[in-house]
Amino acid sequence: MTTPQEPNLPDYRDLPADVAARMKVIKERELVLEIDHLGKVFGGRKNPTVALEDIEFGVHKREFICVVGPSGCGKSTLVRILAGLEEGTSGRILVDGRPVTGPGPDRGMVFQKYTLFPWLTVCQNVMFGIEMSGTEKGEAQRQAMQWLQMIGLEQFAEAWPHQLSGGMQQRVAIARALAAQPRVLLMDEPFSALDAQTRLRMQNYLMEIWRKVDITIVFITHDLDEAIYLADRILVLQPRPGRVEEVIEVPLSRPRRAAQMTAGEFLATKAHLEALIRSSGPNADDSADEDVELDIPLLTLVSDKAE
Amino acid sequence: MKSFTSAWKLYGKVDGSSRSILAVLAIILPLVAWSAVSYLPFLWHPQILITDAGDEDYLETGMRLNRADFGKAVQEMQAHGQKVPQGIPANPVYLPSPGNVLSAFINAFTNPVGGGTEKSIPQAFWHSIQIIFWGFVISSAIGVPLGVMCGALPALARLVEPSVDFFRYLPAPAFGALAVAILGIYDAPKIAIIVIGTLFQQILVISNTTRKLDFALIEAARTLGAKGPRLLFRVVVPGILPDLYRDQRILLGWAWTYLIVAELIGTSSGITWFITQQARYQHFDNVYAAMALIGIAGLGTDMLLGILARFLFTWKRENV
Ligand SMILES: Nc1ncnc2c1ncn2[C@@H]1O[C@H](COP(=O)(O)OP(=O)(O)OP(=O)(O)O)[C@@H](O)[C@H]1O
Ligand SMILES: [Mg+2]
Repeated sequence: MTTPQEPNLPDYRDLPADVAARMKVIKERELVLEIDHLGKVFGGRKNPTVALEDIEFGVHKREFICVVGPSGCGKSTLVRILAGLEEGTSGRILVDGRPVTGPGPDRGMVFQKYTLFPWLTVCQNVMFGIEMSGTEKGEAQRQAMQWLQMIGLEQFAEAWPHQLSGGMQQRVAIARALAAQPRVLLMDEPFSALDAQTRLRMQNYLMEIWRKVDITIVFITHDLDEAIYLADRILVLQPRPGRVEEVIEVPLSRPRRAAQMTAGEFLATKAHLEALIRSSGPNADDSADEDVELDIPLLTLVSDKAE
Repeated sequence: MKSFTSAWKLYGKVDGSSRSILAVLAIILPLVAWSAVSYLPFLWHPQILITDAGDEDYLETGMRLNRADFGKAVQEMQAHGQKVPQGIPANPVYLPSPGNVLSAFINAFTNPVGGGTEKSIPQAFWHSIQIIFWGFVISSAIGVPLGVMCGALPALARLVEPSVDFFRYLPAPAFGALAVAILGIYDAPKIAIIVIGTLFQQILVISNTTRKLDFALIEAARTLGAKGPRLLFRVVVPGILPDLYRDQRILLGWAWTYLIVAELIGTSSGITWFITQQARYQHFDNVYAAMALIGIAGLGTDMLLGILARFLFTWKRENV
């Protein structure tokens, strides 16, 4: 099951030399984020939903981790627990070796929903986290403008968030989260509401920022291309209960560019991921309708058989 | 014209010019209807105003009779060959014409000193405004912070809201006698009634508004390191401010409805007392003039507050 289906594709586990060297360097770095036997059960004693079970994972400094899995496997729950917005039922989260007790500025988060504060200008939004750490206003503004320059939105500093497009808002949200100087940036499907072109541009922006800033990223997505394109390692979750199915080291060298999406390694990894996620499908009721035969009566009067 | 018809579709669009046309019509149409009923003798006018009593003993100039009674009297007197009374069609005394009300209105301001213990409309109105103002300020000083805290702090909400809900259902007039016994007979109990009438609603309305703040914004702020008072004053308060402002506008209107109760307890005073008195003397032109003043003042304040909101909350999408 774990072998690629198409014979001419390379094995996704064969890392090119440069990638293998890079992975080795990363693995020698200290762990920034540790997930220690984490479990999460929703609901009371009557009908508990096990969202996560015994998750065990460590993220190294400056690593880019993507988390994928079928819908409802607990990706959002995991990242919300990492952020401290939700509490695990068992196990714990460590950041730099210290257990997490709630949300804090050491873990920034970018949400799927647009969450810029609508009553603050773009610049003030970016200043928010800086000011919360006790920095005085003038300095905060200076730093915020630097961030806006970095994401190329300095001319929108005085605009209200609703005057920005969705992609721009998410860029500001990334800048806002990074400006607070977190150790880890958590992102829950931040680009899923954007169109394909904007999404690709945002992915490139994100990787560009990541290269220049001292940040470790945990990125949730359901888009396999996105996961392979961005990640150093991909954490594949299986649903009901949410468990780590496999951790994949992405065999693509950096810096990444869109052309790599047609490379053999990319396709092999994708084929494997698809197989993994489909294999956890049949027992997931969301995909139970996959091989249902549709029986739709003819509702058109067009008589040519072009379709 | 095209946009004018679209304004009549369900959820249609209204553009600037049709908006102003409709606004003008909103004022003019009721006035036209009122004028028509008042000045066109063939519309309604169910009574006859006697101008000359003739030979009838019980009639006097200025009396109003139902048309049927008047007709009967005239017939009888014609049969007896007496001098018939004269009269003109008139509306009942409780419907004065716009002209009469307008002149009462103007008279109230040009001739402001009322006779004896009677206060003039402006005096009475000014007194009422002070009662409302202090009642609303005191209520807000307690209700706004408490409401926001109840909305943001679940424990406080569970402690406070049940008793607030209890008092909310007690009609404010029930506190009238109590207020007078405790606070005396002058303005203090009146202000207290306004406070009692407004405060409990205010706490509940505002705590609800606070709870409705988009929770994702709170979570975003938390991941940026905001908590405690900072979270409250940098996120919760600015986030709910436009809705809080709208609530306050509605609650101010609410405060006015308790005025009638407030002004009848202790030593009666103010505009609603004025109205009650004038109605008793059947000076309905004064009654309408006073009512118009309340309406105009209320509408004016609300419009002013609405315009102010547009400047205060430029970040709101709908205001741009
Ligand atoms: N607040 C909650 N109360 C009860 N059950 C919940 C709650 N939140 C999530 N769940 C359950 O936990 C499981 C995981 O949900 P989660 O939102 O983490 O999935 P996900 O992987 O993010 O899915 P998607 O890809 O659709 O976003 C689901 O079965 C869901 O029904
Ligand atoms: Mg999710």
